[in-house]
Amino acid sequence: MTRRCLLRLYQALLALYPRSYRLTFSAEMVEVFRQALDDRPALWRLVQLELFDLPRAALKEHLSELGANSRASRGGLWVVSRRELALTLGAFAIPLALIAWSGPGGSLSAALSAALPAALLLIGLVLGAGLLKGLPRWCLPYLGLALSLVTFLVSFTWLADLMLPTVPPWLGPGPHEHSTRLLWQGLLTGMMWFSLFLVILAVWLGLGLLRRLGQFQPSANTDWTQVSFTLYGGAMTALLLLVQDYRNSDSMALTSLACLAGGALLYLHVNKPWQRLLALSAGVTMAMGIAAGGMWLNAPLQAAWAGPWNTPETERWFDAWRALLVWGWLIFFLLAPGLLKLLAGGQGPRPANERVNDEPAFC
Amino acid sequence: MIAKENLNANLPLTEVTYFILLSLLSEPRHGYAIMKDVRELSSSRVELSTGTLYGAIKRMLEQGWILRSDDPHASSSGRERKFYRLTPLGRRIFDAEVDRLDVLLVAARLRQAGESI
Repeated sequence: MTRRCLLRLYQALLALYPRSYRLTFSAEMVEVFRQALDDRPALWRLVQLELFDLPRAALKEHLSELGANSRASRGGLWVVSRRELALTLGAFAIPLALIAWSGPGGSLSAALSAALPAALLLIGLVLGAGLLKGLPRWCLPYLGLALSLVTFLVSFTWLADLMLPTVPPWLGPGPHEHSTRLLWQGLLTGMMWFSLFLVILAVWLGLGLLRRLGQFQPSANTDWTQVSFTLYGGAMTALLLLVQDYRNSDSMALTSLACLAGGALLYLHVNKPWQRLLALSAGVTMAMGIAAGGMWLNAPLQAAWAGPWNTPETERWFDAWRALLVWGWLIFFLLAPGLLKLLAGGQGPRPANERVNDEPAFC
Repeated sequence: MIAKENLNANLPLTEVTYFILLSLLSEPRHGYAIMKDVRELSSSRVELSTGTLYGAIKRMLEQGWILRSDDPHASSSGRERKFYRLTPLGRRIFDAEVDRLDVLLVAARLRQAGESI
């Protein structure tokens, strides 16, 4: 292999290095390699030294750059303290407490209804603490969880009772074909999430009236993912409602909640809005996937329901599709704040280094 | 002035870093000259590839131990050449490493000679 070919090969291999590194050093490195080729009689030794070492050195530079970027983001806007992490995870521990309260094999739905006063208390405490701190990110899942408990168990029930007389008999609850039952479930789920979305928007807009809210609203204007993160808290309630009547609902709920907590942790650590949305979407997708899989497996273990349309085989398909519907609506409403912002012609989130002063105070 | 504790926080130096700083101790050099000098100083035991050399140079530039400048006497072909020289901080880091190695060497020699330290 001629010296010229070796030089060209070396230049091509330099593409393995990170771009910033290449801009700074590649010309020099090529010149040094050229001089080494001219000076060294033992070409094979030089090839062995340079070309086999280059990929290792390039990988080291990539890792070094990743570490530097990670340190830079930790030093920037999205600093995540251990306290903030612990407080955020605390929100996902609340449903675990509910599961423990219902006891092994107990009724989750009864536990959820019984938890309503506590939910109202939680709203008051979270809003109070959040207002004092300017509504930091850690309190948003609490807010979403508490508002969803109230919305799903109280206001939606009231809405459903109000609307039921207007629903055509072929669509409403009752013994129907699969597709009709799914359509009814789809509408029901959509209405539940829409009502929660409206409540969260109303709370956010209402809070904006208070002087202290000036700290929250501007940051939500530049970071709409915080509204999505609030909605994400409601996913915990949706999950518990989905699996509540099932055997082994404890283990299904536990595993799914762990996925939701993982999505929240990832949300806190990433910088860009699309990354945050992806983190929340991933958490929801894994959680609902586990719930759907668990219901699929456990459907034959359920006590037989009345009616010819309640065979275990049809129910497992129906409930798996129901989980998919919940997932679909949840993803839609997680994206909704961003869509609204686009439609309103908003500027979109400013780069992180411009947002430092807008951010609410972290704990 | 950097406190001694802060200097020691950067020790021990890797062999590559040590030899590059040693090479720049006497005079500023460009990349290939550093490679050749290190080979000579280590009796051909340490042979730097360009990847290892410039990776170490990059880190030392970031830490402020060396400075980079254009070659005032660029070659007639106009090829890219940069010179590197030691900064006062780099000199202090190198001196601290030599002191550290001194202590190790003295202890070893005394023990080998059967004397107490």
